[in-house]
Amino acid sequence: MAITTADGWFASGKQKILIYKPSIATVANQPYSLFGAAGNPGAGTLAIGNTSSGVLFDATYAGAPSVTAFSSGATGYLSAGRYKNSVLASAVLYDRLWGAGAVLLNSLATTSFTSQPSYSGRVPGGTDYSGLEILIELTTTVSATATTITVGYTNEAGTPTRSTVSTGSISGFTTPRVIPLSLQAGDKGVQSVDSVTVGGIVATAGAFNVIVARRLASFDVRIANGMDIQGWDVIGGPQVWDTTCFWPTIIADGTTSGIVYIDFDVING
Amino acid sequence: MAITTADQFFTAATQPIPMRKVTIGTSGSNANDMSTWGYGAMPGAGTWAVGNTTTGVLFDDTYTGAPAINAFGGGATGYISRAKFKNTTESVVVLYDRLWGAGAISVVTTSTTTFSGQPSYTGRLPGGNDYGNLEIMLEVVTGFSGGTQPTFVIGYTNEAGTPGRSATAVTVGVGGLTVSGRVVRARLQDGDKGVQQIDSINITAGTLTTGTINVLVARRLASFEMRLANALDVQAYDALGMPQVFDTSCLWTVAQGVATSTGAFSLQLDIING
Repeated sequence: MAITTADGWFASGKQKILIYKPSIATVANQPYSLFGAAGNPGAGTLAIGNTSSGVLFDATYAGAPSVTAFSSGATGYLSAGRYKNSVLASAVLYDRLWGAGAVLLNSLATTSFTSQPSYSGRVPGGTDYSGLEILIELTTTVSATATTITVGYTNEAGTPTRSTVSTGSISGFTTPRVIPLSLQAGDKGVQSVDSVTVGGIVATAGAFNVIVARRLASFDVRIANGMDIQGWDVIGGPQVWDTTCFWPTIIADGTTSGIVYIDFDVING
Repeated sequence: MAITTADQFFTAATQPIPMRKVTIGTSGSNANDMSTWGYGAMPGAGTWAVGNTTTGVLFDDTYTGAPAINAFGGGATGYISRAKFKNTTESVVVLYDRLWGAGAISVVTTSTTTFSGQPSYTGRLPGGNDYGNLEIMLEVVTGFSGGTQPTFVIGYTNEAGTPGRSATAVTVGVGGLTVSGRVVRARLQDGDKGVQQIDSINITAGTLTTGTINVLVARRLASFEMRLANALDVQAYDALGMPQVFDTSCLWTVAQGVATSTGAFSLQLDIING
């Protein structure tokens, strides 16, 4: 089923989901992950603990808010959202689909992944891999070395051996910073991540996760302690699942993430 | 029953719930969360101290401090369908269903208060068993004064029924806790997603000479914001998300002014049932 009428909206099952995260240290204007931050839900474990197949994240993971099961056969949507922050900052809400790590930066090597669990069950239509993003999430702060990361992947059309643009030097990047990677020219999405390569100058410290995520919503606060409220028409009703692993990242104007509240409505019908 | 069509929405029984709250000083601390429970004007001020430190209490709309809600039709489901929020100052207000609370508990001496036989709030959760996303808060009853702030560890059973979990309240410094109503949110233990019940609260005293608190569990219903003094935030069903409420819901606001007062605000809710 799907919600295709106004009546369908009214008839839908509705649930409110809360993410509250006290402030963490950031670098101004750079994205940071709140997956491992304390709050409500409680902190998740940043290092994924799998560097062979990677893992399929879902709502049961520590660090993700719980999502009540949808009615049988129902389709879920993000129908409204409210974002508040104590500092000037934007936030991006993702569905954290797949990840592997922590991969160490103290050797220049390629880590290959096999038998990766599919996240086709968490993309609209089950086959639409376009728009998915590859993100590096630092689990250990990087030493002052010009180390780089490049990711090998299969693109949205199923073409393997594609490569992201290198991160460039990540010298001194702090955990839990997030680095969005540019796809190879012409690509539009990611069917699987197949490998990661650590290059440049070998680091003496540092580790990271590689993540595939689907962007659900973006919020922004331009006045400290302000709020961004988005109804269904603004938020666009992106499809979500009762297994979705809601994951906020924050880009603060200053050096703290601020005290973050994101509460949003998930409907299904 | 439930409201499942646009036609039902338009024909649903509607009751307006007007709330007005006087401005509250936040004792010099900007952007602090302040409970309006014990402040007037409409509904009239409730009693800060919960008055129970053994089982805690299940709040409902008959409590002083909560607006009255007319009974719904037999078998009907209730929703907040519209809201209009106005404030004299820039601020954010969060509307909760105040579910459970215990207190007042002294913060002057080191103590562990254990609760047993807690009344269940399952009847106030959509679906009756969804404890995810519930929040734990401390509410100052008697303002803190004196020296260093105590630490708080709240023992609770998480959303999955696992007991022995611990939440630590965020510490904000004694300066922000000098007035009745100051609210501090607790962080859940790593990995948890909600709260089935509060089991205990441990207070390790600092050097305060006065101060008492309540510990609360609440369900967030809606959020409002004012960025221009005396302006109005109007939200229809789509922005509100039509949160489910009950004719026993204990509607409760927590206000956060950007300066040193919450502002005098009004919040008019429309509750429908069908």
